[in-house]
Amino acid sequence: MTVVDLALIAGPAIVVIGLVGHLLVGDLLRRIVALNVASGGVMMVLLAIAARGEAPDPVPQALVLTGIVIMAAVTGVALALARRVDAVTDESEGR
Amino acid sequence: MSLEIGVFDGLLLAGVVLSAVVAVLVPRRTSAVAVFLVFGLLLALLWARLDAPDIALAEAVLGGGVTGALLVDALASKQAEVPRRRSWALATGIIAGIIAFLGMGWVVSRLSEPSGQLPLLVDDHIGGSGAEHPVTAVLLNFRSFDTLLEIAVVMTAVFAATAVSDRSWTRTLSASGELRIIAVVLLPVVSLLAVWMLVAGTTRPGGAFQAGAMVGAGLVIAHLTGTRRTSTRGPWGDALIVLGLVVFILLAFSTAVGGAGWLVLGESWASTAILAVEAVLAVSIGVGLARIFLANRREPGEAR
Amino acid sequence: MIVLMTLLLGVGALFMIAGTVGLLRFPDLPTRLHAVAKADNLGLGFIILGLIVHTVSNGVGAGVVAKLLLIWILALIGTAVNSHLLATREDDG
Repeated sequence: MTVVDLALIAGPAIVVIGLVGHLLVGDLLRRIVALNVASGGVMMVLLAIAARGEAPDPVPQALVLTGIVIMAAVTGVALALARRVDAVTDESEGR
Repeated sequence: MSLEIGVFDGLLLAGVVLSAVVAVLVPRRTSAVAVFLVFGLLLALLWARLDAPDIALAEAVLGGGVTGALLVDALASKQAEVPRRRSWALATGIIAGIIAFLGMGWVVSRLSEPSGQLPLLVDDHIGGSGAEHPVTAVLLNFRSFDTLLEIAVVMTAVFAATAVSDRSWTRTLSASGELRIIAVVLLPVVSLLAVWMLVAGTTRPGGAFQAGAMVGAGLVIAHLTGTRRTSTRGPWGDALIVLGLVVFILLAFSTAVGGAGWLVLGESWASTAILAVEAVLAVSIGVGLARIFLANRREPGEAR
Repeated sequence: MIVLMTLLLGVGALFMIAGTVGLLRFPDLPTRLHAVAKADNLGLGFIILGLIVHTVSNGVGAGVVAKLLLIWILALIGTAVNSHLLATREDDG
């Protein structure tokens, strides 16, 4: 068993944990964190696949790098939206 | 790096899975964000272990730095009341999750042996590609169309974040003396690291995205310590953010019309083109990430 | 060389553990910051020393040593900044 095999087991587990957490948790910030966790799991699977050959395969690595940048930007937008939703919910419930 | 399992690898993967579980399950927001930061750090270590040093750099600076800053800033708002999920929803979710995990495990177990074709193709063509590091060559030459779309997505995200904000965040914070000293010490180091990572991307792990994240971090530090003209607000900020996509599209059009084809870089000028595009992308991404953070900061006002 | 490196890394890890125990057990923010700042900086310093011993014994040049020391200095600056900002924050909840 190599690191790659372990990562190929842990990766799907983390994806599922993140996705189920994202769908079932109520609080918006925690849902965004769960989605980021799930994306970490996806990257783990891709990088484990990239590490299988003798030399690491650069194409999945490039895909993952793209994914990290996009996740950072989209997390920023999601947090801004979550903050507005929470503020509006607070107002509408008269707090 | 040999891929055999050692004690360290077992501990690392156990830590990753454990921190993922805790980050999702723990009820308080602050704890969830703190454990998620630990998860990001352990992921960066795991990427280094899996022979992906570029990704480890990017995860450390973007996952830990930028995403961490965004999440910690979002903690400043109050936690709203949320309805409890009903138990049948929880049970369905968990059962669906287990089925999904087993399904993914089955797919992963049927992966064929690595054929090695793509790495061989990359090795064959890397000579005239303009970059010696394979990941950079893939990102900016062989798959440069994906990078063009990526910068378009980032630009859209930046403008979405600007639209959600109240579009009038403070231009200059007033900062105490200690913060100015911090700026004087940190900003030259950050700038040097950004430029170095940009230039090093041609021959070793590094590149435009890591450099861009450093530029973004530098701009945020500069703004928060009271430097003028670093708020990324206004037409100059917009121009710098759009510049990356515009330059990339201009390059694509010029190669399509006057060159060998859409985004086909000729061997003689490929390395200059790659470095130039990377520099512009780094600036664009940096200003964009800084704006995403600064436009939606809580309590714009005096810094201590 | 391996013995020296292991010793230095072990001492560094001990200091890190001490800092974490302090973080968990001390009663309020200033004492916790004190424990984390002092112990973690020392711990990181010893770990970096161990890494320097390791890289020098593997024949890598002065550039790597300089970068490792730069990491330690930057971590010190970061901890100092964070501790100061956290300790002097106005309590607004």
